[in-house]
Amino acid sequence: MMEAAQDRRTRLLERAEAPVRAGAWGKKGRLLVGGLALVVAWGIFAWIWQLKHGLAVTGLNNHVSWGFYLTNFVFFIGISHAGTLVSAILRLTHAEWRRPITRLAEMITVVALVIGASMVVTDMGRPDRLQFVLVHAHLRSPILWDVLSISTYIAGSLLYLYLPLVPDLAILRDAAVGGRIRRRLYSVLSLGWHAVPEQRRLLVRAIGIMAIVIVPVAVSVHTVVSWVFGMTLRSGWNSTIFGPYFVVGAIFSGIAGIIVVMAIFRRAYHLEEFITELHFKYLGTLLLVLGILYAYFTLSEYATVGFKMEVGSATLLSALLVGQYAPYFWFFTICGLITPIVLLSVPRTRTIKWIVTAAALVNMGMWLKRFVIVIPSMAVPLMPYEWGSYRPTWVEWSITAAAFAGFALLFVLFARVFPVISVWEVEEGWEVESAKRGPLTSTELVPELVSAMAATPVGDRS
Amino acid sequence: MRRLLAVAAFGLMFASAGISRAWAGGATPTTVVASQGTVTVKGQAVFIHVQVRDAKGRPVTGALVRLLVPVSFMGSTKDEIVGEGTTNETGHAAIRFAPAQTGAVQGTIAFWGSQGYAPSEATIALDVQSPVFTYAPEPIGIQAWWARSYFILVPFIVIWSIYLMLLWLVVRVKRAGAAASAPSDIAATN
Repeated sequence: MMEAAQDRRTRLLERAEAPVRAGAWGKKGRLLVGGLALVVAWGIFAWIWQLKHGLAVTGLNNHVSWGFYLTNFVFFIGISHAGTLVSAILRLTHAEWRRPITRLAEMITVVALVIGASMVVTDMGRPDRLQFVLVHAHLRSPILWDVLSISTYIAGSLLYLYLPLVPDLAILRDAAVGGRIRRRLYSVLSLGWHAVPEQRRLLVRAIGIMAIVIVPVAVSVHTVVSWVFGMTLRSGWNSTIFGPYFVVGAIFSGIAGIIVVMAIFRRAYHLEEFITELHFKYLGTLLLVLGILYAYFTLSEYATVGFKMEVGSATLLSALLVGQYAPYFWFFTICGLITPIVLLSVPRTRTIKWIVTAAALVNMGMWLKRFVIVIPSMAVPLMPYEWGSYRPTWVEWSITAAAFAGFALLFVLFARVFPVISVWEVEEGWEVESAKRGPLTSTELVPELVSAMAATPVGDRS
Repeated sequence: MRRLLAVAAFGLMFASAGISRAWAGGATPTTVVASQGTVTVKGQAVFIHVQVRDAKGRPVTGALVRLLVPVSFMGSTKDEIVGEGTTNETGHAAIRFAPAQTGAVQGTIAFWGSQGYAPSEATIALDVQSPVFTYAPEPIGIQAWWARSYFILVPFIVIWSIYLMLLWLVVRVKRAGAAASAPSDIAATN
């Protein structure tokens, strides 16, 4: 039994820290990182081009001043909710199955927030004026609330990622993994961790407080993001349910995001023993619940607008349902909402393959949903003029591709420095599991004793 | 010449149709004349003056006249009665109307016929303008000591204070680690 437990721990350390302990990049790794870096570099070039020539090189115009960049911003901020839900809420509800996936979820939050926040900067024609938001702060402006809540969320997410990392960093420090710089990094960040009772008590307390604090912060972030739209009188945005609608949508796409990332890491780093089908099924159930909730909100939103048929809303609804934006809207509805709900509801398709397929569809659908929230509402004329139009240029396509590549690249680089599975938390889970099971029974002890006796020479037995 | 004759024939046809309708029940044809070019302000009542006369130009007394304006509801537009009045002995009536929307209003004054008089109607054009405030409007919104914009900062201050407290816990973790490793360091030195 003890040997089996030790073997399991060794395998866990090997698997969780495999990317960290790996030496130089392999051929596949070099290709992946090189390819992603190339896309990011092209995106940076496109951004420099935009800075040099102004927003005129984009498809943005007087009518539609928010395009792909704001769509990406809302999408990535939504994805960032994965960490909050999977890690904080499941931690607070003592859901034991969460342990192997919390690190991935927390990493998604930080990486998605960084990419999402950068999208706002790319949307600015003059990023040097970003400081004006604070220098000339207007407390009644939802834009300022957005800046405050997102910066609070980034700081909180970094802290929430860091705290559970400390014991794992100590393992890497003690194992002297990496070169001089990395060893120094592990030494500093592990805070002299020796797992003494006082340290454990303080760390558990800090993680507990952070798990409570990060939930309302995350909810506030997406509520405020929705208010940037909902506080205006524009058709399609002038809604009282935008706050909860956006929060539910964020958690929906966030869970889908973690399922996809989990599947990729599970396959790439052979984590099948620790990230099991059970994790996909549990997250699949959560995704189903959130999907149904999001469908309800969507129906409620469009039914109330459709019944009143206020002039601006009527034209917007017509454009969404049967007009120029109908393909995007119906792709979201059919492929991003209804199909995943069906796939996740039917017992035959509740397998890893189909759950991941459903999650991927949700992510695609939710990006398009953000597109149809942002762009058509801006295109609806506020005055009796013609409709606005928006056609993204190569600059916006490049920067959008770079955002997604940057998300993947940051993740890969992060996994090279920090373990993707929280080793100490998984071990703690095993302890909890064995404590629940109680002391070994006589039937469990027999094979233990037999193997111990078999290993002992006959003469030594007393 | 032919074209002129055709137009005249059409005109005669329409005129005879109107007369026949009017005379169908033996009713006297009537004419409604309404005041035109009324300019008013949204929300303020205006009186539209109407006169109903018979075919010989005599006033029609006690005729009920109605003002109908087009109203849109659920995508369809329908004429709704928004005011009415009854003519006096001189055939005059005043219809009170308080427009709720700004812009040009094309209304209809309708007399639906009575006492041997045939129905008739007239259209009117109203120009409804926005009210001009000659005083500073009262501030709107919640007027209370706690409804100040800087109160938005309170939750952020609370959360950042918790972050600072957590950083202090991190420092304590480090100190506890240093305290735990200190005896072994001394032993190693010895």
